[in-house]
Amino acid sequence: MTGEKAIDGCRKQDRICQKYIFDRWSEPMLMLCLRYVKTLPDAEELMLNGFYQFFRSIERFVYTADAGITAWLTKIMVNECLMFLRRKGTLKIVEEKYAVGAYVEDTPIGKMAADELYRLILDLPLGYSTVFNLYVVEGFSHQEIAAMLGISEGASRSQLSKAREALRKTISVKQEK
Amino acid sequence: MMKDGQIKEKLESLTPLSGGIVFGKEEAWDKLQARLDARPSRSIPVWWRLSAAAAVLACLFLVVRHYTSQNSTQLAVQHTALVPPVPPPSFVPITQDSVAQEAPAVVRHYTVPVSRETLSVSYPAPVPPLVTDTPSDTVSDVVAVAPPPVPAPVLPHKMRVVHINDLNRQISEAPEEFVYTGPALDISKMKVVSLYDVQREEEARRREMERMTLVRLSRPHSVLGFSAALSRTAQYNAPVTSNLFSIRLNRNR
Repeated sequence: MTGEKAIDGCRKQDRICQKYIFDRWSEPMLMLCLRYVKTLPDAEELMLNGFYQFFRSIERFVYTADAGITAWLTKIMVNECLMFLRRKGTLKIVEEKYAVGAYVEDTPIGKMAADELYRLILDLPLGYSTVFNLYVVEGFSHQEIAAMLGISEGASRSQLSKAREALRKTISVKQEK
Repeated sequence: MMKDGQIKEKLESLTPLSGGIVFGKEEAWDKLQARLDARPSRSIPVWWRLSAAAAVLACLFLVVRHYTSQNSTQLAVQHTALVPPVPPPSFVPITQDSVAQEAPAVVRHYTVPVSRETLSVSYPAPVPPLVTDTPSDTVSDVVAVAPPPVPAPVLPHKMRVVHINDLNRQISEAPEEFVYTGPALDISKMKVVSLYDVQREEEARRREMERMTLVRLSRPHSVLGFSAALSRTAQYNAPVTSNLFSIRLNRNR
């Protein structure tokens, strides 16, 4: 089954096609949710909500490639996660002074394991990690991040800068040990 | 830049299994399938709920209003049943000659209260019709309306009240048989005098005689007035006899 046929089947409420889409994209979407919320049950719940929204809004989706499905699902999941964080009231981003040149080029990222990097990002403050994920992993611009979080672009930039600085310090401390 | 591409690749390549995360895919699919099978609950907009509530209230109001108006109409019907039936008024056109001969015409307007407020108030007693009398000066707008027949009150036969003394006097002064023995009279030349006028003249003559009486000492205050007059004359050393006969007491004093 290809992605296109699966999308056509999903438009007809075909359970097999829906299962195909879910099997193929559920794990990446769960990991995406786990980057924003730190507990597995919350992440699972958000992932299920995202897939439910996807199947309900399948009529508006225009298939071009499988990457399109990934992008559509990613957008839905990110929105679900941000809504969840707003509902909980944990996402409070304070505008800080923009720190220029906080990143370091020679950080040995390539030598680090993926799960180790994932845990380092999770240990960051929630505002830092959220902006970092949105900018670095999901690829949104500062303007889009500012619109999604309801903050200014400067605040988004400063949050990203602080996140990089905190990540660099953590990696340096780990390497020293 | 801190090698953003590398970070992205590493994070996207992470799977639950490699990250040590236990993910029950089949259980999650069952949950999702249950949600998809469940009928989506349609959220009813607030304005729709409000309008529905308003419509229900309006219907209730109309039903209650209809019921109460029916009740008041039934009461009014029962109410009018207690009022004695009034015969339809007879309209008689009156001509100018007939009006001139008879008494001044009186137009009577009979109005029966039929408003809802009046009918809704129920009393056991019948409602009397309102009658307004307006005398009319012109003949053109006069329409005589015969009043409803009112049963005449049964009054006792009118009798003259006579004192027992008058009866005795009448018996004693009963005229005897009159026999005229004088010369022949010409009735055509005689003056007709009313008996009432004769009695009035006699009464006036009697009052004039009483008025001419000098002193009437029939009341106590008249005596006091007489003594006061005597004391005044003694104070001024005036002759008592000169004033004694000039005192005239007013009987109304």
